[in-house]
Amino acid sequence: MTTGLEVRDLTMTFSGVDALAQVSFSIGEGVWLGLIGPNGSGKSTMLNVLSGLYRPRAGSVVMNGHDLQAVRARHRIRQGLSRTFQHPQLAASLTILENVMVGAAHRPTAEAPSPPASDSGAEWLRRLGCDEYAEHLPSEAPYGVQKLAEVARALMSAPSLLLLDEPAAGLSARERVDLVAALKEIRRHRPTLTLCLVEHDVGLVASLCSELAVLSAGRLIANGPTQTVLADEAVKVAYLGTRSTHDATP
Amino acid sequence: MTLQKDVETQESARRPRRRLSARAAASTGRGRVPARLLTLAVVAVAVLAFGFASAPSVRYAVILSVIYAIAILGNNAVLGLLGEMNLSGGVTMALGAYGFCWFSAQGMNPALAAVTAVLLTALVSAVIAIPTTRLRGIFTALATFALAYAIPTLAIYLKDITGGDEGTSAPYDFAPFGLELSGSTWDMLTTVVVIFVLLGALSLYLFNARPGTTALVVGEAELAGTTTGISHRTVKVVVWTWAGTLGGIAGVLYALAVGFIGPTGFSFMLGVWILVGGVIAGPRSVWGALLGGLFVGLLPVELQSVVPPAATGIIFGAILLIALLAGGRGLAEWIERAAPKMTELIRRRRAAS
Ligand SMILES: Nc1ncnc2c1ncn2[C@@H]1O[C@H](COP(=O)(O)OP(=O)(O)OP(=O)(O)O)[C@@H](O)[C@H]1O
Ligand SMILES: [Mg+2]
Repeated sequence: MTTGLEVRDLTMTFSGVDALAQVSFSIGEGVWLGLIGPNGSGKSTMLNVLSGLYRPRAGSVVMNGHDLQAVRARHRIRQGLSRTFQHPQLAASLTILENVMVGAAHRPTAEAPSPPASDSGAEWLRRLGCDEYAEHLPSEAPYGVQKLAEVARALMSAPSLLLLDEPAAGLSARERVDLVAALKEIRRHRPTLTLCLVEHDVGLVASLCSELAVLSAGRLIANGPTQTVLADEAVKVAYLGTRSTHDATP
Repeated sequence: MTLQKDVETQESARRPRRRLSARAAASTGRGRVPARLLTLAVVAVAVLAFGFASAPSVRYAVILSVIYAIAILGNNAVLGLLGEMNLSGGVTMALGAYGFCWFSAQGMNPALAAVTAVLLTALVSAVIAIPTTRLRGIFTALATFALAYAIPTLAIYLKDITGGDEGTSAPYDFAPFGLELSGSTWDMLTTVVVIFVLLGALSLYLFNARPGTTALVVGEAELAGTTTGISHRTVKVVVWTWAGTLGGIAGVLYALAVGFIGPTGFSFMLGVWILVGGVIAGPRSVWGALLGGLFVGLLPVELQSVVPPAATGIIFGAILLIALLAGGRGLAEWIERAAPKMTELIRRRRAAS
């Protein structure tokens, strides 16, 4: 495979404990993959390795045919990789819009030098439904807006691969509805965008992603089309079993 | 009447905000550039007027205060943008001052000597900054502590350059544009205030433009900076270099004002004062840096004439503590927050009567 993302035998160890153990999966170009798993199963660790913040002990990450091993974290945005954080990483003294614009500083080198005006920070904030907070500080905006601002910032570099770490965590039911609408809005405007969505809300993931990968204690226990994976017994036991108790035997 | 007002409030609540709220502007020190420039100008004019009207001895103290303010302004970038503590403010002043004297003594044109000394200081600051990029917060204070502590001893040791214990003198014949730059002259006062205002205006501009934004991302959301392509190392080195440059400028001016410099002028405490002067007034306020300079330059001297010398340190500490408790970000922010409330209060009083 030449486009999209390919992860091969990725192993990440923290003081002797494997947070990721020989994980392999791939995401085709334009595919939205949901990465799910219980708390501490290694989802954020996976995103940190993919974005270069962590250096894996073994394995490789290949994006659009390029091995990212030697690419520093801050240079990966130029390869078209962009991400958000589980806990919003926004500069407290910058407005929401200024924070969003930070993402526009380093567009991928392959991108056209001047992006269309329709992809301005203000425009993305409007599409994501939080333009009224553009001139607010993060601390003055609801948590949901802060999380969407992270998404908008990640989109400013016109990425080909977007990694979202639990965008719905901490959001109210209403904000979740807005988030799903916003993500669908992204898909409408960026049909070729490849997405890796880490999320606990399986319903939300299933409504957006055509493929799933399931981590449990650092191991990949299932990977494939969403419906197939959700029907998988091992997945039910390891993860979904804790949620849908109706078929669990006492 | 009430209904009208309600409709208005609702309207304004729905309309998207066009700029930072007063509260946000005060707490971040950002935005409102024209108003901030005006405040800077007003405070600078007040300092000038006070200096002109004062006896030469007091004017001399005011001149030194403004020189400290320049160093504080630089140091504030490190504290206010990166949230890092830098105790090398005195070191950079010493470098600028000694460099200026030494290059002049080597027969260099004094103006060129001044520029060279500042560039040298900037370079040294960049080198000092490199190890600090691996540290954060208070640990940078420890890293610069040793350096600040070593300066007086080093100045004595490097006798050939610094003149050792006896010190060395600034060039006597330096009179750019016919200005008499020494001691407590009006020219000296005007020069230091103008330089402060220019550097203050430049700081304000940079803080509100792209460089400030980038530095704030590194200081407040470093991970996001990394993943959006910002090199935190480069940014930190640049900010420290900026601080060093202003310290170097302050050092050159200090040498001119004092005329004769020796190791006692650059004790370890100078670096502490430059840091504390920024904290008292608020590291993100430009006019606050001037206020901080006046605190550092005038207060200990003035206090010593009222209370025993040993007590000045305690009073200084108490003021620092009050400043920290008052606003968290210093007196300048506290005043900035209070000012709109005061005007609102006055407006209501007027409307009521
Ligand atoms: N920087 C680190 N140092 C040490 N251990 C870590 C570090 N980061 C993660 N871990 C460990 O790795 C394991 C996986 O953590 P990770 O944060 O990737 O889980 P997660 O799937 O994102 O969980 P959650 O759903 O709670 O966000 C955990 O046991 C965690 O304690
Ligand atoms: Mg996580």
